[in-house]
Order: sequence, then C-alpha cells, then structure tokens
Amino acid sequence: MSSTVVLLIVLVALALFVVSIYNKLVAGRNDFRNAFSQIDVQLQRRYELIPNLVETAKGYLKHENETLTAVVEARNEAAARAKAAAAHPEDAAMVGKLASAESTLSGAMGRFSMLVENYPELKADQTMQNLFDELVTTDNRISFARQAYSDAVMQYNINREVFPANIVAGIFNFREADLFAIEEPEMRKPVRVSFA
Amino acid sequence: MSGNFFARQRTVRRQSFWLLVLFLITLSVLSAALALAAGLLTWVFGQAHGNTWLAPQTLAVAGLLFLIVLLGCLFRALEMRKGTDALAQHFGASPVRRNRGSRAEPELLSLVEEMAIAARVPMPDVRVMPRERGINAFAARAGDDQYMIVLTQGALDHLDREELQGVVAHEFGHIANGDLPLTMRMLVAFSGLLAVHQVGRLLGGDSVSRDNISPAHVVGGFLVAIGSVGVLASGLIRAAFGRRRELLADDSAVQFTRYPDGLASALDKVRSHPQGSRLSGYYAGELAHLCLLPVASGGLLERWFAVHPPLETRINRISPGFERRRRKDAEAQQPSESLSASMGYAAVTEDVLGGAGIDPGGLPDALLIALPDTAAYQAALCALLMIHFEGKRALFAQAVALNSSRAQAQQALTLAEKFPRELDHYAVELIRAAAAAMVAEQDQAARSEFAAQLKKYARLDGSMNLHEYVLLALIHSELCGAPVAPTSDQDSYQAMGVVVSLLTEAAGYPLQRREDTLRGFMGLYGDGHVPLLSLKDPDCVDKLANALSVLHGQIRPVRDSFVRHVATLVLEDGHISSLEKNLLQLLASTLAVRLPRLL
Repeated sequence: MSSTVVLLIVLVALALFVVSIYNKLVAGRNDFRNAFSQIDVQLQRRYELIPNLVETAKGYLKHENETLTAVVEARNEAAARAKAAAAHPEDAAMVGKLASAESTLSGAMGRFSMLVENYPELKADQTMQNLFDELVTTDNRISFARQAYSDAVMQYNINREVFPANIVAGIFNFREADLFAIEEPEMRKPVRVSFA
Repeated sequence: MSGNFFARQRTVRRQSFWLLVLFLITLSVLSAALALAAGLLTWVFGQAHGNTWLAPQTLAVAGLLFLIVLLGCLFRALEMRKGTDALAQHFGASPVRRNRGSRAEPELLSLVEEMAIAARVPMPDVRVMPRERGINAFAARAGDDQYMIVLTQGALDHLDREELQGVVAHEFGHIANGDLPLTMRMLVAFSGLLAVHQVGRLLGGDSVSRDNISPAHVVGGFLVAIGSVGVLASGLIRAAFGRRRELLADDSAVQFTRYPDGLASALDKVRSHPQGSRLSGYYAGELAHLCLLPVASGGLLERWFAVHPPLETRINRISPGFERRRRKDAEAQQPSESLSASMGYAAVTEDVLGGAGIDPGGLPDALLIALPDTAAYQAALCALLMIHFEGKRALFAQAVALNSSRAQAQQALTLAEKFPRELDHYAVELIRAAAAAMVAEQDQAARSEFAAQLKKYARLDGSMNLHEYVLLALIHSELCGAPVAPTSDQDSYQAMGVVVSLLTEAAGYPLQRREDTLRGFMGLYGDGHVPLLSLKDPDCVDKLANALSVLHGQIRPVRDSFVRHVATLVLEDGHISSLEKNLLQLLASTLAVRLPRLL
C-alpha cells in the first residue's frame, strides 16, 4: 500500500519534471522564432526601401539599366526567400538560401552605390541621401536582429542539448536550430554562379 | 576577451540566485522571530492578567504586527505603481521625440531602438533629465511590459555614440534580466521590515527609564530589535544582490553591443568627470538602486551597503586591459572619422576575430617595456620582418647595420629572439604604435625612406611570402599615409580585385578556386577583367598599398559595403587565419571602416 503511494508520488514528480522541461523548450523555440521574425521585419523594411532608391535613381541613371535591373532582381529574389524562410524559421536550408540571397543583394547594392558616385547630381539629391541614410540605419538594425537571433538560437540549442532535456527533446522532436549563416557549399553557389 | 560574457553571466546569475535565497531565508527567520515575539508578549500579558495563550490580546498583537508589515509593504508598492508620466514628472525627465530640432535626439532614439532589437525587449519610453549634469542613467518599470529609460543631460553631453550605446545597453540588461520587478519586490519586503522597526520605536519611545517599564515598552523594544536586525541583514543582502545584478547588466550590455570598450569608456569618463555620476535632485536617494552608477560618493562602511561595485572592477571585468589601451591611444592619437561619419557602425572587431582567438587589444606589457623610444620601435619593425627569416637573420641584421646603425641591428636581433610570438601576434598593434611614435618625431620623407628600406630588407632572402607582403603594406600605409584623392570607378574596380585576389591567397585556396572566387566576386561589381594578382609579382606590396589608397578615396557607403562583402568572403570557409585577420584589419583600418558584425 505505502509502496504504491511512494511509486505514485515519484511518477507524478517525474511527470511534472518532464512537463517543465518541455515547456522550457517550447518557450525557447518560440523565442528564436520570434527573434527571426524581428530580422524579417527589418529585412522587409529594406526590401521596401530599395525600390524607392531605384525609382529615385532612375531619373539620373538613364544608361545604367543593367545595374538597376540587377539590384531589383536581387532584391526580389531575397524578398521571395525571406518570405519562404519566415514561414519555416527552423528549416536550416531555407534560412541558408535567404542568407545567400542577402549576400547577392549586398553585392548588387555595392555596385549600385559605386555607380551613384559617378553622378554628382544624384549624390546631392536630398531624397537619395535620406534613403541612403535610412538604408544604413536599417542595415544596422538587421545586424542587431541577427545577433539577437543567434543568441536566442544558442540559448535554445543549449537548453535542448543538456541532460536530461536532450531526452525530452528527442521524444518530442525538438530539432536543432540553425544560425543565420551560409553553411552548405551548395548554398553558397548561387552567389557566384548567377553573376559569373 | 569579450567572448566569455555568456559564462560570466551564468556565474553572476548563480551568485545572485543564492543571494535571493538567502534573502528569503532571512525573511522567514525574521517572521519566525516575530511569531516568537508574539508568543513572548502573550506570556507578558498572561502574567499580568492570568490569561492563557490564545487570549484576545495575543491575537490582537499578532494581528497588529501582521498589519504593520502589510501596510509597510502596501504603501511602498502603491508608491511604485505610478504610471510612466507620473514617474517621469517625479524625476523631472522630459520625453525624447523623433522630430525635434536637435540632432542628438533622433540619434539617441535610433540607438535605443537598435538595443531594443538586440535585447529582444519592446521599445521603452526614452526620457532625459535636462537639469542633471552628472553622467548617469536608469531604467524604470512603468507597467507590466512597459519600461522607461532615463538619461541625464550630462550623459548626452559627454558620451559619444558608442559610450552612450554601452550605457543604454546596460539599462536594457536590467530590463532583459528582469531586475526591476525583482528589486522592486525586495524593496517592498524591506519596507515591511522597516515598518516593524519604526512602529517599535514609536511604541517604545526613545528614552526608557528603569522605573516605569510598561508592556508597550517591552513590545516596542522587541519590535525595534527584530526590525533593526532585519533591516541590517536584509539591507546587506539586498546590496550584495544589487551589485551582482549590476555586473550581470554589464555583461548583458556586452552581449547586446558586442563592444565592451563602449561601456568601459563611458565608465571611465564618469571617473574623470568632475560631477561624476552624482544627481542633484531631491529624488537622488530614491533612485540610487535604479541607476547605472552611484548617485553620491560614500565612505568605507557604505561600500558594504553600496548597490554598485567599484568602477575599476566593472571596467576591468568587461574589458580587461582597457586602461592600458586607453593610455596608449591617448599617446598615439590617430586620425579617424568623426562620430557622425562613423555613426551606425556599432560593429565589432572581436566578433569577427574571436574565432581566430586574437585579442585586438594593446601590446603586452613585456613588449611595451622593451620599446622605450622611436628607435626601439624601428628596431621592432625590423624584428617583425626578421622573425619570418628563419636562418637568415644574420644577413638581415648586417643589412640593418649597414643602412642605419649597429645598435639598431643588435636591438632588432634581441627583440626577434626574445619576443617571436608577441611580435607575430600583435603585429597590427605594433605597427600602429610605431607609426604613431614616428609620426610625432619624423617628417614624411624620413618615414617613407624607412618604409622603403624595410622593403629592401624583406627581399634579402630572395623571396617574399604573403605574410611579409601584408606587413610591409600595412607599415607602408601607416607610415606614409594614404593620399586622399578622388578616384575613378575603374581604379576602384581594379583595386578591389587586388584585395580580393590576395585574400583568396590568404585563405589558402588552390589556383582554380581563387580564379573562380575572384571572378564571382568581381562580377557583382562590374564586367571588366581583373587579373589575379600573383605573389611572384615583384610590385605586389606597392600594388596593395596603392589599391588601399585608391579605395580610401571612395565614398563611405562603397567602402563600407565592400568591407562587409569581403568579410563574408573571409568567413565563408568558417576559418580565419592570422594572415586573413591581418589583411582584414589592414583593409578596415586604412578604409576607416569598422569591421562589420558577422556571425
């Protein structure tokens, strides 16, 4: 009789323990998903800025259609991948694709800002300057959001890997989260191939 | 190194957890003591009236005690539940708005927004105390998920962007770690004890003569005794807890900014500021536990009750070696971009370089002592090249002796033998320090001459490796300065090619991969053909130096995006060699761009 009671108490305690670990893991997962959506918010902001920038520049850069097209294409590609990645932030492949598209976009933007250098009137344009400033601010926010995301991912991964949480994570299929970085060699390819 | 701030956070968090437990134990011991006192009082009343334990008087006394504690807590809690506006008005703080006339305020707001993103905390209200000249800041809780960050005008006036960022990040550390509700609850419990103490004194009166001891005096005496022990003990624990949370907030600030020197430098400024962190308003005492820094200067005993650890401790903790570096920087003041130009580049070298395990700080002390004057620095530069000259150092020393002096040759030999690792490890820092020393004493021509000599020495063994190239280019650019001239697009394009092709060499890629990488990279910027620069090219160093000065003439967005882009290239294979680090450093420092924050 008493041994049954003891067993029951132990079982209940164990169940509570597992529940608390499970809840902690869920909270961590929501944390890094939320952090990813923060990156996404800032990326969207940049994707909105770039067309404005191109529109403003168009009037001055009549003969530079190629560069402008490249910027717009890179922007559209990155925006599409950001949308896909935002839907599945724990999918490493999606996040990796986004990162590589982002890198292409930075390259295109670099070329674009070099081009602007050749057009003093465009450089002096107030709208252009404001947009550039805004872009720099947004880039900054993106990097802080990425940092916050990787901090959240790290915390989640630690919580997931320590004993005995790793057992609970295994049972309930909490997958390892990935940093916002280019991991696989194939993921990197698009950066080179598309412009080589 | 700032890399271990997560580990430090864990330690401090554990310590403050045990302090919290201790605090709770103290509270329960005191409650037990109060219960005991109630029992004792019963005995006193029982003696007088022949009553038993559960007499109405006993219950009344116990109830009264309970009520006192409760009222004390309630009063404090109500006082703390004021809304943001009431709180701000109380402290004489006015809100910061985006579209105000002054330039500083939108900048402050965007800085706070960045930190809110990094800390994953909703954007708080930002306020400034316009009449406070000291450097200080605090965070306050205005509602369940609503916070307020208040800065003094002095902080805005005296701190630059990075320092302000560090301070704001510290406050975000308090918010993110949940310090505000925690300290508030501790303060509420503390107020309950304080109420016991005060009521005791009220009952007992201050002077009790031996002849007329009334029950009220006995009760009062007990309450005072318990109250004082409680106030003292919990005050000590609360202060120790508060100090731990300050350190934790410092560590969090480093986590959010990834730039320990920002906060360290702000704390350092407080030390040298005449007003320090002092607040002048009547609310100063109330704010003490909330503020970034102590609001008044205190004596010896106050250190035990201080809510803030000493400034030195905090600076050394988040940024070891900060003071030494600061001293050196003051000596070697380098031209750098102004705050407004570098605004928005709150990025960090440590982050990128952390992987390579390299401390971006100053020279080690042993080496500094060995370098008393400019001649010694010149010898050190020779030694720097010499350490890559296995077996042919004598030849090198001979050349130095011929060209300048025997003493310098000897000194260079000694340095190369004594500090081979230090010289290699701190090459960039050494070159900067040497350049600063030489700029102060020599003219441009003499420095160019010296750089040219070094180049000759390096060729003595008939070959040159990339390491030597990088070092020479860095020396060249630091000693001779980069000419500021407008540059054409085509030049920039070629210059980028030079940098990228050397970087692929530094990464140790095979030839085919280097060509692919270069083509892929340059394809993003233009269509022209860029030759892959070979190390066998005798003008390699000149070309690199030239490329850097061409790129230096570019506008900031271009330089910035290029450095960012190059840094992603370096990180692509997940490994940073010491050579890659040198090249990146060189690139960033000549282009006056901070290395970007990267994962």
